[in-house]
Amino acid sequence: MFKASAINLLDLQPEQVNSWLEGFDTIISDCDGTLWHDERGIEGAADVLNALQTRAGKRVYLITNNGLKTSHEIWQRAQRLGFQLPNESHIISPTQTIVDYLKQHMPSDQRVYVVGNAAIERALNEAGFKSFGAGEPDPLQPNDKWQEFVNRELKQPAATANVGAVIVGWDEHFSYCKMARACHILCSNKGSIFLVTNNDAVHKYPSVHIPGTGAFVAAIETCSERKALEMGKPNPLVLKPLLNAAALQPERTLMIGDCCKIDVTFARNCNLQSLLVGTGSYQLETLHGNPTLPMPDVYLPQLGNLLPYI
Amino acid sequence: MYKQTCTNILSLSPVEVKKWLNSFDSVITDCDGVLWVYGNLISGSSDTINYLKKMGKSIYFCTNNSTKTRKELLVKGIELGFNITEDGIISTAHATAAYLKNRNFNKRVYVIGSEGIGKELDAVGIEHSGIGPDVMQGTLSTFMSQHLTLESNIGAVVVGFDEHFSFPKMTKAASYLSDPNCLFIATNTDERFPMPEMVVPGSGSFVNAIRTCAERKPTVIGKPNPAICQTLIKQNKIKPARTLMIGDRANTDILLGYNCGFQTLLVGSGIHNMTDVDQWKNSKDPEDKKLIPDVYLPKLGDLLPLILNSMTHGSY
Repeated sequence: MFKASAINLLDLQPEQVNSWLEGFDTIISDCDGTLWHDERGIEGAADVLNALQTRAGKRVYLITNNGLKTSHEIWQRAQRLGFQLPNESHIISPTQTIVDYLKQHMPSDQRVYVVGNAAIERALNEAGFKSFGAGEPDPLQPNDKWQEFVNRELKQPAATANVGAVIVGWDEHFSYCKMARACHILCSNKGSIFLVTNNDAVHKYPSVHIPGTGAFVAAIETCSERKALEMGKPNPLVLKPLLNAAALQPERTLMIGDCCKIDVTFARNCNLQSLLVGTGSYQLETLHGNPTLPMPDVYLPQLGNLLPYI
Repeated sequence: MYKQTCTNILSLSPVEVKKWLNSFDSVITDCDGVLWVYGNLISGSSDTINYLKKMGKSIYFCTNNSTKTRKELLVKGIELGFNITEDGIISTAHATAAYLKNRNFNKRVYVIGSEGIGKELDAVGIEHSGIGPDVMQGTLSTFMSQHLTLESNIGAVVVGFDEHFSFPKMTKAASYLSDPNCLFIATNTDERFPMPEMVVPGSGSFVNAIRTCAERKPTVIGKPNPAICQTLIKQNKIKPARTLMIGDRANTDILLGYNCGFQTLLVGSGIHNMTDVDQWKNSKDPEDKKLIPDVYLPKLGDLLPLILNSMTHGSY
């Protein structure tokens, strides 16, 4: 309903909102900026998602591009903040999507090189994959030269032997050496798998801008001349497991998120309905000021606004 | 002559070679992949360049390699047997410093790059910081609260080749560049650094990382941006139509030639060769046509015997 019209649900009559509520059976909700800000739940969000399940009979999934936590860790946070979900399989996260993808496409005896944090390694190990590189500093030593590093470490067969995939995630230890290792693997073995948790470019705080995973992978993509497969929104691939299991019908599924570029685009890519909440970087005024943005079907200042209608 | 036809000079008659030689007075040549590879001379290149100089052509070396100063490139060139002076060297490290100087830049520069850039900035009196290791300390939260210091007088971020590239450097660059008044300069965008048998990151890889997290496009100093030759043209040291650009990489060297109105010679001793040119000839994309050189040789050293031959046989 209301396709791409960015209508504020609060401006509608109750009957219209009820009609809208009856238009979907499944909900997929973003987390950061929609349900919580780090460890602080957004007011009313848990009540709404819980009520949508218990009172309105909807199925709820949480989806995040956060590559710093495993699905299990996100599940634990959800529980701490009062969100009631049937089980951990209701969490869609890049680490889980990566594990599912590798299970389908890479022999289990192959190693995985991770330019990223320890959460990726935890998820891989839990699934029985061998990985190296995750969460480790790998700087060029002060008295070393890059040519010597390359000759010494990359020309060894061990640098690429049995490595079937390169995974890039958020990495505060990102370095030239990691770039060089990843490129060498990707160029030596054209059949190797190249995945990235998500392509977020930057995370903006008041006085500092932190590079996103998109910036790390851009460096490796440029040198290797290969494109990484995105394991997060807005790639519709992340919904494949649910679609394959017939767990939802796209046209009767609602995507809730706080980011036009990622969440609304994801909804479009998967043919889902969309609700934008104003608890992130996008409010109604932002939409009106930028008509080229992907428009959600409907809008609410915050998810908690929905409670009276359920 | 032979405009964008990729004519193989080896197939020309001595008279034609002589005519072609007389059509240019200046030579601008790339270095890596044309004159030398890594530390080794490509056979015949120094003899050829020195002979062209003897014939009265003015010679310029033009490299995108931002890791060395002009002085260091001069030393390397002389060691490998080239008859060259410092004025004859155009390098992106030097050109970047000149670019800032010409704009009367009076703030500090945050540099993601090598010593070469720092020394060239020192030489023109521009203060800078950032060169060398900058390793992540602590966790993200302790980094942000305790270790990260952002300077207040940074007016430009320069990105080139940096073996010490790191997350803290990316954070600083992205933060400085969030001010639209802060300049964003890339020394060059070569995606890979020339190294025999290995694919290794070049400046372009670092530049794209910063481009992504700063959400801004840089001003690119090096080839194929014609700015790198502007001084020579403005000072009338070269006349574009009578200048020959020699290179091994079409999307920097030959494209620079196209952008400046030079004649172009592609040599096959580095990145690109005839097979690549055939692809561009068959391509429907007009941008690809700019990559097709006027003439071609397998390597620069092949030119000297042709020059000598044209002297003795070509004068009827």
